[in-house]
Amino acid sequence: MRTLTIGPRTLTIGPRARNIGPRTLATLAIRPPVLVARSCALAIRPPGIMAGWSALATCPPASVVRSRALAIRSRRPQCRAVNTIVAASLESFRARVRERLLEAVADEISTAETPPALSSALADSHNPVVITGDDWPASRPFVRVAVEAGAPAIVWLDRWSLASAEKALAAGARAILAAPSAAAVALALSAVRAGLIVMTEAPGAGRRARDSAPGDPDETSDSELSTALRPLTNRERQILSLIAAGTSNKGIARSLGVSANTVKFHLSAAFEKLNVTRRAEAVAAAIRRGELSL
Amino acid sequence: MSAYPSLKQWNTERAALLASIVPRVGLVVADKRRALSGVRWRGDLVVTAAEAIADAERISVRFEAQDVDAEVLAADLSTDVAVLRIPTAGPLKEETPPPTPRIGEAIAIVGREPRGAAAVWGSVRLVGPAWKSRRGGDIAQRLEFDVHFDSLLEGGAVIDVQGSLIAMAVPGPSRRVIGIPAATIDQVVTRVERHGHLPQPYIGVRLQPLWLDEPTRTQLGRTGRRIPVVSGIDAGSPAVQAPLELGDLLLRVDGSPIETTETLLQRMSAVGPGNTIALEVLRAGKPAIVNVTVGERPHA
Repeated sequence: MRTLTIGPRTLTIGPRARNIGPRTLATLAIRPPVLVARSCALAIRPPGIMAGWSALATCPPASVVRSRALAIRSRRPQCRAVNTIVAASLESFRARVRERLLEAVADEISTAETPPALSSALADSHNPVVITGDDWPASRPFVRVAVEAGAPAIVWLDRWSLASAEKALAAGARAILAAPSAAAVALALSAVRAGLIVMTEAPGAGRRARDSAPGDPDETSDSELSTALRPLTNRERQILSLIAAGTSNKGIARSLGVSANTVKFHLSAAFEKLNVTRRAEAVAAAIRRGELSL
Repeated sequence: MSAYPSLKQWNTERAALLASIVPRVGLVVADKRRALSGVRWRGDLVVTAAEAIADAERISVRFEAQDVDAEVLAADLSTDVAVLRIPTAGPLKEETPPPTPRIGEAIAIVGREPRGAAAVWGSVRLVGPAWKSRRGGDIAQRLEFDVHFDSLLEGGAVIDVQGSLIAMAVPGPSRRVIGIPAATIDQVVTRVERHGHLPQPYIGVRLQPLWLDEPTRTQLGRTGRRIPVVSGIDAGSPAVQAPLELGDLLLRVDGSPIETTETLLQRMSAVGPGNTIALEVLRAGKPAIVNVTVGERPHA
């Protein structure tokens, strides 16, 4: 038996284990439990010491998810009274979110139009959660106020981009949602109140300039999020390891007993997942993501 | 009788000098899209600029008459040297290493374009000591040339007035022209000749970054918030021999703190296959030193 110890937490690794996945490493987190739901699709990880995103798992129906979240919540006595504040300067956004919330939850909903207004609303509320949006620049001042006040902030993006999601997380947001359904909002609210972090997978997540806002530096393709959302397949990893050894496409095709076109096909798929255009970059990115050995 | 006999002589010698090197310079075409130059270095091995052809599927090379398909044996981005094998051999005699060029000396860069051999004359702008490229490669000398250069001459032969091949011309920063010295090229070609490819350093571990919270970061004495953990070990790899274990937290390699995987990779490259690196790890909460012998990446 081997153990991995970080801070106060210890993880035991079985004797026959060949590798540790992101989900296992995530159990090192200070705050269990991990609530995972595929989607809507939401990947949730506990804050604290963490590695990678808990892998997306099969999705139970929304009702089950909600009741599980409620069960978590009930273990934390301070999560009794609920209060959700929709904070944004855009009236149309506030109205949209409010409507979705009314479908989803029985929370008491209030609004705030400016960061100072949010400050006073937070001071008056009991255990509030802040929902802001519609893009990251608009959300940032509100997230800052919420984080300072110690209230969890949910960022609701009308257009999801990996860069915005990472920036929001870095700023301290607890949930990133992309034009969510009522069920997703409900789940996010419960999870956030239970102390978890919620991330949405948007279709085509991981693809670069097409989804990012112009001028968004997308250097985050090698993030743990990207890895969990679109991991490399075994074939892609095999090919990348031969590329790292300096083998040409023809040599790889011969080694693996496939056609050169197949190799090219897998390589393009891998390049896209890794958000690179060149072989050397692909090797570096895969190593950084823990998908290729050094 | 020429009215300017010295000039005539000068021109005759200039032309003769270049004529001696032209047969060794070839046109390199990558994927039918990018054309540059290459130099027949030894036997059936042709050298060109790695950066330009690293991602190409098909390379063809032309010396005098027709295009031949070339096999890329190695494209070393750290030194920008790519080694190609062509079917038409022609064993060349070993050349003695050329003398170090001096600043101000005249040089010519000879290349081959689709329409024929091309040459430009210039002078040596700068001669400096050995340096490390951005990708961590060791280059024997810093050579810069003051010369009119275009992309077709990339990979071309830089010769001095004795006709010695002193470097391969490649573009440098700020539109300068730098030379990869013959000594550096020789080293790469020799390794490729010996192994058939360029062996890459390898120990066989997969690493994942763990994020540290503030108290743990301070307790471990780290500057950054990330620490790599061994999340996978390849069967039969140097890591198995060492042994490294799943869950080992990598702290330092040969004394330097490992902040990113790049640190470890650079150290492995510097040390090279066959030599040992000392990894300081945290195993089950206790520090340990593991000596790993760097191996070679499985090539096929």
